[in-house]
Amino acid sequence: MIAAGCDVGSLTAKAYIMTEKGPLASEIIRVKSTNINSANEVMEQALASARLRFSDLDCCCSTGYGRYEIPFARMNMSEISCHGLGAFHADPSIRTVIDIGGQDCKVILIDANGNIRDFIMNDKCAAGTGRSLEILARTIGVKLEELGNLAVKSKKPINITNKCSIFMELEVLNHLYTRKRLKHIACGIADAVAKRVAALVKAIDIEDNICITGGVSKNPGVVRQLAYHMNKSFKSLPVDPQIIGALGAACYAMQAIKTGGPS
Amino acid sequence: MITAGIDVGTRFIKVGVTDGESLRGYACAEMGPHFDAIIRSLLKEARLQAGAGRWDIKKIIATGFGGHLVKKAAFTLGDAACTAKAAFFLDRDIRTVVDMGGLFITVATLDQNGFLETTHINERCAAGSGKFLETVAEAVGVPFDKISSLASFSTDPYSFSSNCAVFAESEIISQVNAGMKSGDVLAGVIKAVASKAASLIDGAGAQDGIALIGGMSKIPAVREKLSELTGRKMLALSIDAQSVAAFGAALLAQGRINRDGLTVPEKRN
Repeated sequence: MIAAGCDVGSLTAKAYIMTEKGPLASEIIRVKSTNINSANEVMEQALASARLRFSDLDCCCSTGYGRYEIPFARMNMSEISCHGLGAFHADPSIRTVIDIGGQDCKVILIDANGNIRDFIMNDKCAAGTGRSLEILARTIGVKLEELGNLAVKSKKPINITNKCSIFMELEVLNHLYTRKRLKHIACGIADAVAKRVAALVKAIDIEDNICITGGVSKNPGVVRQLAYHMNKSFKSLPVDPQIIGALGAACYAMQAIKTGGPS
Repeated sequence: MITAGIDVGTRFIKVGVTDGESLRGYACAEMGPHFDAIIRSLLKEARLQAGAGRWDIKKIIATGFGGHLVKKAAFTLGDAACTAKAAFFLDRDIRTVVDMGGLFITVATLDQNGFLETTHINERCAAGSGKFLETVAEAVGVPFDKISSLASFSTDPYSFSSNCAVFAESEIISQVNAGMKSGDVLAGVIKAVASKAASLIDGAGAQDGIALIGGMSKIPAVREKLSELTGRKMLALSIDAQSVAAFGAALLAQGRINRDGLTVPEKRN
């Protein structure tokens, strides 16, 4: 039994292939021109590293923004369900998942069986998402991957008061013009994004054993500042936090195979 | 007395030179990291236009978002105070000034003596701002001066699923890839921009005699849409719509200054 999950997000596409015994392969790529292209490419790469073909897959489940368009997926599940189940599968003690993606941010509560208890999300505003981080990193001329490492060097983040990413950009430029240290600005950027996420988290009652998933969880600056603002610590997952959505989708595909699922 | 006003906006730097009667010299350039050099060259350009010598400029007042960055300025003032001053100076019937700039939309209300009463700004979110329009125009590859003519051909303006100026870019790219006409997209943005300004105007309880200024007001379609949405007449001033705040700052520099560093407006007969 081979199940696959394909998570086509706004900035990256992820694929995860597993059997009932454990994982086979996983892959993360930047999105291509269309969701279908992204899905095909990421799945082909994952299949290649698992030495499989499309015909070997028993069931594939899609998730993410582009989940309705994936030609090879026999079923689709919402990102919320997939992140919940994916995180639970990676570590059954997790009760709260904070997913900070490229274009939205969600807080998902799961119960002891891995079912979704409640969730809250922001997909209306770019503040507190990966996009905001990307824009601000570009403003100060730092690569997105380096921003987190630069941010953790600083203990004195500049205070960014604006809530809108575009106003933040202006505020950051102002600090840049008045020649503030780059690491303090970088830390301020991470702090600003973390503050927006923390504001979202406050709106829901979270339980302990919290994990962070999604692309932004790879930014140590944001994670540190978020832990500070929430006054909590996060449990690190045994797998890549960006792949959790695809992993959850693969778990749903596996359940479907076992129960005879969608044909 | 020759004075100058420097308006450091979010997108452009504007310099106006006045003798207290009219805008004698005006120069404008895009804002950038080397703003010091830009300001210097703009000041020279505006000064030469006004036919003033290097030491003739007696005082400079800075305004706008980056006003505090201007080292030469005697002090900085809020942009609403400057636009109000200039608008009332040019037209005594003005009671409301709507400034649609690069990022901020400011609605300032004036009393019958030209004193600033209230200001309303879109300070929380860039939805419906000039940046929003700019991002989208860039994404569909339409230069600024073509926006209006393209948008006027649209019969079916696109309505955005998200008002966030950041998300608009990716939304537009996927819409254009799916075959959406750029005219429809731009008409949709102009509608979003105008309705943001209209709600600010309503919120401010604006009185008639509305002057529409700022860079975005140079797009005729924005002006038309805004008059359509508010049902009010949007007046234009006799000077360049972008220069109003700089002119106002220069005019305010003409006034005396009292001990607290506040300008006392000149009495006009």
